[in-house]
Amino acid sequence: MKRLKDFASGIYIGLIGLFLYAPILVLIILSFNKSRSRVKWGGFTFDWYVKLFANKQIKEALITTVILALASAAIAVLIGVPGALGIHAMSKRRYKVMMAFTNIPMLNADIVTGIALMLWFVHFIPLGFGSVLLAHITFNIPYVILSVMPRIQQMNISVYEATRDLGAGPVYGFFKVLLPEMMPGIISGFFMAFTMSMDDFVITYFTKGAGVNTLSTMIYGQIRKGIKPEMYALSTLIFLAVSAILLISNGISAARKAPKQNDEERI
Amino acid sequence: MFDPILQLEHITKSFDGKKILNDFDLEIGRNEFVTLLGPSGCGKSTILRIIGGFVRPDSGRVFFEGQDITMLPPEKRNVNTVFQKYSLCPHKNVEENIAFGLKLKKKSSDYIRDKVKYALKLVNLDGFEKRDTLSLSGGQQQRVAIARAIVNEPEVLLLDEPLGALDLKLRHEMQRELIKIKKEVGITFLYVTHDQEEALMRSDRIIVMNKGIIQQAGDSQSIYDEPQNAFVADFIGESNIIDGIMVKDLLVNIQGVDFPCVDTGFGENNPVDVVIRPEDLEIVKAGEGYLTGQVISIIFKGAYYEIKVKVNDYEWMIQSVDPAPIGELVGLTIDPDNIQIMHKPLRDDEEVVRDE
Repeated sequence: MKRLKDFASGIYIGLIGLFLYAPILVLIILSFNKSRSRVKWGGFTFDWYVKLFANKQIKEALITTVILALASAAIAVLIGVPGALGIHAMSKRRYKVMMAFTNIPMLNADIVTGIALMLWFVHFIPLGFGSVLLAHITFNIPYVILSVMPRIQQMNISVYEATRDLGAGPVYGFFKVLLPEMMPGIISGFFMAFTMSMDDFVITYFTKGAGVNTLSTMIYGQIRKGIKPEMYALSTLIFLAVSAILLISNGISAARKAPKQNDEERI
Repeated sequence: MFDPILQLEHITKSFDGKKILNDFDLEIGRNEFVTLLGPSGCGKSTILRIIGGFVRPDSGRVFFEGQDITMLPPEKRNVNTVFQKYSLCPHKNVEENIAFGLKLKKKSSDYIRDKVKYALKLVNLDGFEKRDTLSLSGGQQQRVAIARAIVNEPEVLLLDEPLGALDLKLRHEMQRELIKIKKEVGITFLYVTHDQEEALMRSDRIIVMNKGIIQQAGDSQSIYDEPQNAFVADFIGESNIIDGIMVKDLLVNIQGVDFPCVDTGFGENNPVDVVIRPEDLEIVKAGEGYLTGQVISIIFKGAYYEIKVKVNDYEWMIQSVDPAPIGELVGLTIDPDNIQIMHKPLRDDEEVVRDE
């Protein structure tokens, strides 16, 4: 019976792996394929990677993407964390309403958000890097709020109140007690916002205007002229980068959780 | 002479549209040990948090030594709080936790070291300076929390169910120590609890609350012996609460039988609530007491037996050192002194709290 169960779960895992990761594996293999063919193996090569890094257009898009992701995630944290604290302090009814408003932009179709923001921006600012940044901050804030909120709810407010009680001002209490307690949520919110920004195509496409390209919009433009193997190489690199970010952020939260569990045992 | 150090005037506070405190007044004297006692949700913790400065009342004012401190933030108030639990900073050791308030006040390191040593001695934790707070037991953590508050020499110490998370034996031990600490430091203690035993044990004054309203205030003895309404009688200790009719002064009719009592001023033929403590009822031979009924249950409780005797529709609870066999007909008698007469509840907060 146990062997049958193990066997069934093995097959299940295998199928999931096959459907989810086999295509990515094929992509990675093709990025090292000397032949331009998508079905024939022509020998191992780094040529596509070399070509990729020689391409000025790609380099610019990469820099834009990273700066955009970092800046929009950081600003979203600066807006989202105080926002989450404020929403948490609201009465139950208002809290629910605010959290519903926070969820809507995440569930909303990207195309709606993209077109709406574009229509809004053209009235006020020229479309370009600034408008894309604003758009990314907009859709990143909900992710920050959603990942910080559980930490705020679990937070032991007594430590903060004791700090105030013993003579510390609100600023000291915020930076020395509240912020460290929220940190795991802030970090995971930052990384989530970062990857969402890197990942986005639709909203960026509508708000970017001419001349600005992120990797996703650039790849889209290139593909219209035919898929070049450099794109396999680029996609492989993006996949590896995102995986690395995920592993690091999981590692951080695991490391933070481990001593916490010990605490509870000792109490 | 009563020398008030804290005064609360007309305090009103609502949370999420629910009124917790309504026009609440309270005066606390210098060096008093006052306990706020009541079921959870009765507003007792809110009062403490308003005095501590963590909650701002919707209306009303708080005075400290005559000065209005209603709008003052917690760090500016000369009161300190011992919280329910887990309020120590986990990244600091015992000494750093206790020294925190003094360091903020920029005291000299010699002064701080002496103060920490003295405070640790006071709470029976000599030599614990360098211990990691997370390695301490629950009781030890609360001792550190008390030490941490006391080193700041507050005029008033607020204690918000500080022993609530401890087990029974440790709680008893800590109660005795709190009395000792109170005597040693000689400051005002305002203590919040829902545990009537804790309250009776050591307070100069107990304030019994329900639904944001003071039901009765007084010393332990008067609250236990002379509850003023059914809520207080039921909440403090075990009691039989039964309908009665005050025939005239010194005579009350319970279950159709006239009992002599010592209460006066309830009018004639007025319905009243009668409180009789289970330890005051005495079992005698059938026919010899005021009432006659059948024993329906008996439970051994260690120091006494808890016996239930059914008389008509009412089950009397009796605590007795002598057992009585189930099914036997017995008589019940009581001293006139031990019958406590109360007015019928006027509002729902004066009624017995029922578990639904």
